[in-house]
Amino acid sequence: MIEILNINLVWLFVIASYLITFSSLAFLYFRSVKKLSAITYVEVSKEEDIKRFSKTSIQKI
Amino acid sequence: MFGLQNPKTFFNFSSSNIFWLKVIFLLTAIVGLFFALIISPKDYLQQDAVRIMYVHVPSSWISLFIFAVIGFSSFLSLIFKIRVFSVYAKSLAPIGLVFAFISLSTGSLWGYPTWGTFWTWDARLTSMMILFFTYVLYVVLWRWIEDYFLAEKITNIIGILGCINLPIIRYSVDWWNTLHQPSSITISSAPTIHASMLFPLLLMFFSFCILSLLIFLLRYKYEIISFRNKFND
Repeated sequence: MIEILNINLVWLFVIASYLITFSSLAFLYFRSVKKLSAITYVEVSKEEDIKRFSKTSIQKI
Repeated sequence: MFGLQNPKTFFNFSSSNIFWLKVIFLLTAIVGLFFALIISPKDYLQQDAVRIMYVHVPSSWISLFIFAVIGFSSFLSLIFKIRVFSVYAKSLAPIGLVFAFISLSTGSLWGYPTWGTFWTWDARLTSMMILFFTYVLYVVLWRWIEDYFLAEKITNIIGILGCINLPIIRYSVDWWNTLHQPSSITISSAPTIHASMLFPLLLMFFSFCILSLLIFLLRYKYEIISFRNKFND
């Protein structure tokens, strides 16, 4: 009986680990999808992007 | 850098590859789970508790690797003044945070049946917890500091300083007497675990890497768009 309980307890920890892992990753994935779908995309040119993402051109931003 | 430091190139790359990354992740995760939970053998000592390894070890590797990338990107952003690297780091941080959380929580669940305790102030566990809180600090500062450029500078410094902890985590099991076992897989020597366990471990690692890349691309797109919108006005 104790052996059966021990096996079940170990499997409980195994299942809990997989549930924590996949629920955390699913939460992160769906949160990222939600954030991305909630934001409006504005098309800009390659030159504009280079200008924006260069630190040396902070003043121009 | 293959043009990927250009946001638009990376943006187009991410848009066209997200679908295939989802497909690869799902396939590898299903096969990986099948091997990890059913096919792979029990450990002679730990019995079925060893199956926690297949999620715990890849999560630990990825959380360490992501912080190394954050540190490198922060360095490039701070020294060479290339803004896009801080956007990379900002997009990666929540992923690393979640993997560090998974590593700590699954490690704790693995510890109880093998060591008889959920937690001990062991060098490996403590240094991993420090990494987790470094991630928390990094993510929280980006949220709390309203001035984008100030937040960028401070988080870059945290990203660089946080890297000091990485070799401590890696070598903690060699430098101190720890309850945590030494590494079974290293780059310099042959793995000490059997192929029947190594295969699902590497498969789960590959699967988590694909998912990390997928989430990173989504978050990177979000950060690029929000940055553009913020400074468009």
